Order: sequence, then C-alpha cells, then structure tokens
Amino acid sequence: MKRLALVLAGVGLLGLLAQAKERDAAFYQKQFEQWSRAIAELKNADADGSLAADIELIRTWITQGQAFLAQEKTQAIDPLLLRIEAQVEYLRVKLDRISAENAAQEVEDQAAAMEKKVGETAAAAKAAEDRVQALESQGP
Amino acid sequence: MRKFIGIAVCVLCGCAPPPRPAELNSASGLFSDSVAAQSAQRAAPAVYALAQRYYKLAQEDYNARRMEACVSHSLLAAVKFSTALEHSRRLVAEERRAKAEERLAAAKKALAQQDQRRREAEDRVMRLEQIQALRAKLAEEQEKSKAEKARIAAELEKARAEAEARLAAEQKAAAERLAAEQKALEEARRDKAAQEALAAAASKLQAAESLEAATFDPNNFGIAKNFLEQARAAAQQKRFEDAQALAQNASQKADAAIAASQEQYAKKQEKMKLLAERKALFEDAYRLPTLVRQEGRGVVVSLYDLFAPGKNVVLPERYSLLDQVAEIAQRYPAYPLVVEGYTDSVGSDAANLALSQGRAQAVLDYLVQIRKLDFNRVKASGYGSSNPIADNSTAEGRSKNRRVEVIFLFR
Repeated sequence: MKRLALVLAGVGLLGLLAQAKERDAAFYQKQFEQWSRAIAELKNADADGSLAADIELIRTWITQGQAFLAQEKTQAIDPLLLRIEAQVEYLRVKLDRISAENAAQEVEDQAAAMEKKVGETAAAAKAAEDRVQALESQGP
Repeated sequence: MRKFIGIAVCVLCGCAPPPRPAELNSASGLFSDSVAAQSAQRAAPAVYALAQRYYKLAQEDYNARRMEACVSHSLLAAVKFSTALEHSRRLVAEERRAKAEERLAAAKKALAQQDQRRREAEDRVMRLEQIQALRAKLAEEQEKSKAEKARIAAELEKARAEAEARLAAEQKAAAERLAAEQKALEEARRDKAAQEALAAAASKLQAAESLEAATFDPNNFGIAKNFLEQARAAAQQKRFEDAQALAQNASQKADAAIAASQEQYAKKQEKMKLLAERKALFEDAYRLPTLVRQEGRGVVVSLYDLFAPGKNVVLPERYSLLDQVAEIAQRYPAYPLVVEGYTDSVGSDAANLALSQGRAQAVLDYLVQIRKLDFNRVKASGYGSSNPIADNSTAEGRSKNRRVEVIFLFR
C-alpha cells in the first residue's frame, strides 16, 4: 500500500515536473503572487511574530524564484515552488497548532480558574455549613 | 555507526562519497526521533508518508550524487515531517483543550454544585442568623417589655401610693377642715348664742338706759351693766357659755331695772311733755303784743286798754288781741283759762271790784260767745285794786294795774 502511494506520488511529481517544462513566465509570476499573498496572510495571522523568520525564508525563496524566472532558469523554480508550498502549509499548520495550544491554554486557564473558584466556593460552602452547625448547636 | 561504516567502505573502495548535506543530516535527525516520528505519523499519516518519501528521495539523490536534489528533498522531507509533527502537536493541543474543556465543564458543574451548596448553606446561615436576630430582638423586646412593665408597675405603684397619700392627706385635711368647720360652727353657734344674749342684754340695758334706770334703779342697772361688760369680756375670750350666762344675768337685772324705772320714767316723760307744752304755750303767748309772764300757777297774759275808763265793754279795736289769745287757747285746749280783772286804786273798792268783775266777765263772754271756747273751761273773777303789779301813786303804775289777766292754768 505504501509502495503504491509512493509510486503514485512519484508519478504525480514527475507529471508536475513535466508540466513545469511547459509552463510559461506568466504562470510562475502568478504562482509567486499567490504565495506572496499567502505569506501576507500568514504574517497577519502571526500576531506574536513567532513565524517571522520562517515567513522571511519564504519571501527569500520567492525572491530567488523570481530571480530564476528573470534568468529563465525555470527548471530551478519548480523545486522552489514545492518548497514554498510545503513551507506555507507547514506554517499554516503551525499557526493552527499555536492557535490550538493557545485555545487549550485558555481553556485550561479557565478550567484552573474555575477549579480554583470551585475550591473557594467549596471552602465558602464549608464555612457556611460550619456556621450553620455552629448556629444550630446554639439551640433553639 | 552506519555513517562511519559507509564512509569507511567508500574510503576502502577508493571512491570517497561526498559529504552529506546538512539538510539531509537534519532530516535524518528528525526521523531518528522515533517518539516524534510515531506521533507525526499517527497525527498526519499522509503528510508523514510524503515526508518519508521525500526523505527517501533525498537519500537516493545523495547516493546518486545528486546533491542539489538531495538538499531540496531533504528540506521538503524536513518541512513535511515538521508539518506532520505540528499536526500531532495540534492534536495534542486539541486533546489538551478537550480535556481542559471537560475539566472546565466538570469545574462548572462542581462550581454549580458548590455554589448551590454554598447558597443553601448561606441561605440557611442567613435564615438562622435572621432567626437568631429575631430571637435576640424578641429577647430584647421581652426584656424591654419586662422592664417597661416593671417601670409601669413601679409608676403605678408610686402613683397609687401618691394617690393614697394624697387622698389620705385630703381626707385628713377634709376631716380637720370639717372638724374645724364644726368647731367653728359650734363656736359660731355658741358665739351667736352669746352674741344674741349679749345683744338682748345690751338691748335691754339700752332700754333700761333709755328709761333712765341709772337714775331710777341704779343698783340693778349698775349690776346689769357690770354683767354685760363681764359677758362681753368673756365673749372676747371665747368663753361663750360664761358670756351667755353673764348676758342673761345682765338681761335679768336690766329687766328688773326696766320694771323698776318704767313708771317713774313714764311720769318723768309726762312731766317733761307737760313742761315742754307749757314752754311752748309760754313761747306762743309771749309772741302776743302784750305783757306775758310765767308764774307757778300758769302763764299769765296781761291785757291792757281793753276798755274805756269806767266801762266794762271791750273796745272793738282790741278784739284782735282777744282773738289772738283765743287762738292760743284753742291751740292748747287742755289748759283751763281764768280771766281776772284788776283796777287801780282810784275809786272805792266796791266799785273797783264790780268794775273788775264786769271787765273779766266781758272778756270771758267774748272768748266763749265770740271765739266759741268751752264755757266750762273758762272762769272769770274780779279782784278790784288788789294785787297791784305797779305803784298806784303814779299814772304809769296805775295804768299797769288797770288790767285783765288771762291765765292759762297749769294742770
């Protein structure tokens, strides 16, 4: 099964490479613009700037790709595009992870706060019950 | 170890392999972490498979000395591996979140329970405290009420005691006032009796005094007066019974003095009246235009020149004088009249006597017949030349002796 997947992936990759030979400059330029927008979105989503270096790396690759395009070294662009796509996906997943961790942390904080509140409330309830017992022990 | 073995083989074979790219080493390092690799494979099997494929391609590229492709595939393998690992971490985070949400839900539930428990307990505390507060307030109110009752009872008792004391004082005062009034009444009654007795005695003494008992019965009058003074002194000293008895004694003595003095006093009064009448008679007669004198027998009115010489008829011009004498006689009817005629010494005694008698009778006749005096009241007498009142040796004396005297006799 794994072998079959690898074979299919290899075939797909070869197909892409074959297509790349046929791609023109407009296509690549469009690709670069698309990934530029993608990194812009990533930058917007990266509120704390933790992905800045990775985003800058992608920008470097895009710049490099555009340089290859200008030099008409189109055979060098496709690996870059694959790398950019993978990196963008990685960063998106990473953002999702960070978001999920933040959300988890937030919920955990809420849970902790709530548990603390439960403890306090339980203590208050206990104190009130003790007070009840004390009052009741004073008799009618 | 395998690296060293490969390098050693290559050196021994005389075909030393190129150095492995850092990207490939880095990818190898990632895949060598079996725990991370398992997590990444479990979380994103497709991505992980892609990473493995790229890693395999990179190794093949390295073995085939395609270094550029090796680097590119190594990078892709690392990125895909990291992507799968991020999926794994995201799943872990989502599991954390799910667990945290479960914790949160449980905590919320527990909080609700604890809050409910706390509220119930606090409600109970509040109710109990309210009850206690009410009890305390009730106890305080009861205490206050008790104190108020005690205060009111004390005030009532005090008021009752004061009222009783006041009533007793008022009753005592009223009794004392009543006794004083009774005593005063009794004293007033005794005083009144004494004063009445004193007044009666004084009245009687005054009556006795008015009857001149001091003169007619000085003994009883003096004793009565003495008794009355003693009675007054006793009354002043509020010895009313003594005063009354002394006053009664004074009354008795005054009565005796009155009894003893009445007759004599009446006589004296009669005499006084008579004397007053005589005095009035004299005063009336004295106003006549002729000589009037009072003697022991009565008031004597001497009338002159009533007749012509030797005649015994009253001259008409002298009627008025006789009329005045008659008016006085009519004013005092109780006095008998005596008409006496007198002459001077000229002539014989018999003739003078007859003339004097005639002249006296003429005056009587005028008074009786003209002036209508009672005949029985009037007597007439002639005495001639006797009883001269002046010297007959002189003409003046003789004219005085020729007269008619009308005498109002005293009874």
